[in-house]
Amino acid sequence: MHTQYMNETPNAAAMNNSPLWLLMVAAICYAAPALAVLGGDAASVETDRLQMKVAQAASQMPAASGSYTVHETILPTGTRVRQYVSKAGTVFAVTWSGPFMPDLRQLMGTHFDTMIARQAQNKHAGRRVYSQHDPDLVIESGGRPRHFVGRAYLPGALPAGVTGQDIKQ
Amino acid sequence: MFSKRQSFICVRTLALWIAVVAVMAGCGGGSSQTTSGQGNISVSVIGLPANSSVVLQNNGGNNLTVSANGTSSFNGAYTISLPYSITVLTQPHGATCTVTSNSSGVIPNAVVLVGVTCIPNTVNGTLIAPPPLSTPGNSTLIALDAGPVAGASQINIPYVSITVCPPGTLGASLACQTIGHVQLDTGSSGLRLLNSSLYANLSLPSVNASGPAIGECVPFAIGVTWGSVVLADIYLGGEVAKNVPIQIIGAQPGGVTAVPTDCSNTGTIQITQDALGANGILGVGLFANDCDICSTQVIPAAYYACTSAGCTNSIVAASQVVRNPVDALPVDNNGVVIQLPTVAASGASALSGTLFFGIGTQTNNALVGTVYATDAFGTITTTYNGSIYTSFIDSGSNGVFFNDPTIALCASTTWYCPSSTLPPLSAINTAAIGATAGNVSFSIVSLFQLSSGAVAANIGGTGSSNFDWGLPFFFGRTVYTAIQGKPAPPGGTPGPYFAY
Repeated sequence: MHTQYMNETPNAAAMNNSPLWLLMVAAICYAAPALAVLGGDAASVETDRLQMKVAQAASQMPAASGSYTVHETILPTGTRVRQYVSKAGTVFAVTWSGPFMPDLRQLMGTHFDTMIARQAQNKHAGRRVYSQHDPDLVIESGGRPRHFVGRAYLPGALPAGVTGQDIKQ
Repeated sequence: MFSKRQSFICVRTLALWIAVVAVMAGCGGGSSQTTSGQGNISVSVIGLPANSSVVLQNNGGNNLTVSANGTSSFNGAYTISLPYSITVLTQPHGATCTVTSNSSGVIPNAVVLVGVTCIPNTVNGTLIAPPPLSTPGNSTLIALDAGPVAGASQINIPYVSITVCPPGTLGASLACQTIGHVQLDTGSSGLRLLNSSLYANLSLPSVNASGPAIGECVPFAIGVTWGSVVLADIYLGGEVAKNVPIQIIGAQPGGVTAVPTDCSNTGTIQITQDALGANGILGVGLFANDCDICSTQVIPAAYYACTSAGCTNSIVAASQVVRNPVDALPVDNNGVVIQLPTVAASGASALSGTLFFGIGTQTNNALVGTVYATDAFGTITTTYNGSIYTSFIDSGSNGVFFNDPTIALCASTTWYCPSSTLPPLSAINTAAIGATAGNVSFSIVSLFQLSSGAVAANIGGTGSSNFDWGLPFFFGRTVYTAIQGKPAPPGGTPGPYFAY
């Protein structure tokens, strides 16, 4: 049921409208900062904020140890996102917690591709938990609709004295 | 007809790209990212039938014909940071293909891999009359078996059968289909059925008869269901929930063949029986629908209005939000009761139990147990090894998922494989509201030491920062899941709560 064949592709239709032209021109002239992510630089936190349509700048909380800063953002959906940025300016961890899943590609970048490739292979994984503990990448994502929590971090990029236990949602 | 249209598109596209290049030249001194190299677009196709091909396009042109499963590449070099959008121009014979990941965006400084999933077209089947109603008709069988996927054996997935009909189907009208192997899930709310498990001649109308088709994206932790929202009468046991919005997983709302990018950016898209391990999900959770605020606020990766031009994030009417079918029953609609037997340490090769509709509404579903009120997000707390976790009780989790570094892991997995039988473990569940608390004794056996063909077992694995009481919690218990705002039993404590 519900099988429909296209007689016009979505993009062919869109091409007839001028806004796409404008969008493409804008995209080309836009000097994009580095995208935005786990393993990216501190500027990516601001890119995330704009991408996720958050009005307020992330609040910053220096860690007690002084070796990193936590940038916390509340998305319009109510979900809280935290990005852990080292003094050297690297995003070494991201976390999320709230009623709706955030844009994980935006938060994790190429590591998201690692996750979905692994998800696609996981036949016995259960529907509520994704867990990956590799030497160079840890991802824990859990919950169900109305309650999602997760974190992803790069063990090799943790500042001295910081462990996975310090990465809290 | 297509070839004419294609050439028209190609001419327009060529003109567009010439214009784009001209504009680029005029940008001057922009980010080096716009000109620093060439990105490529590769496509990974799965499910394509033998001796058939699918034609894909980028930005409405640059046709790529794919005749075999695997990875192919669009011809030509692509400039980093220019937008791309992959769509299906021509479907293969006998299957329908959907762009399931990286459908659009800007060309990154690397190869972008676009996922395309093809599913065999549904075929007509023998439709049946609505099943007879009964009084009380508030129960149905739960069965655990190897599941519906040929060559794969599921574990700890509780299945039920349901029947769906077009809204208002009467008497002897042959318009309905019974679907077995639907996963029973207290962790979500709403019925979701795989399009590929439904007959082509089952005709369920769009939830939005007078406007654009409605698409829905539902992220779960392990993957995402995507499809269209339609209306159905749902027969559960001997009762019927009428005119209920449900999700058809893998159906293409408004004919749109690409999964919206914000949807595929939340996880891997699961639109096949192989990925789900079921023909659908019967969400009988703590809430009357799957999104309260979607009728007042546009939420990313949730509801979409879909036309031939594509899907856009949209609010939907409250009556169009996918609804918990139990909430829509005329009686016995305040929650569910699940009874499953105990399971031996070696696992069980088959298991059956009972799903009751209603709590305290009939003689067979009286509330006998302790009530643990949840918060507005459906969670309670669990104390384990001195740490306090947010937790929930969930028949849709196929293990108990929690973090205990002292328990050995099975090689190359995140499942627990204790080398010898663990003594019973202990945790304390505490209600989110009020002070109700109680001990839970539970066991974890090794996934790799189950008897051959086990489909139910007391298994577990590492978790997130949640404590997830999955299906093994239900073994040997009667577990109540009460819907928010509905007194259960009538006149008693309203949900949302778990009780056992």
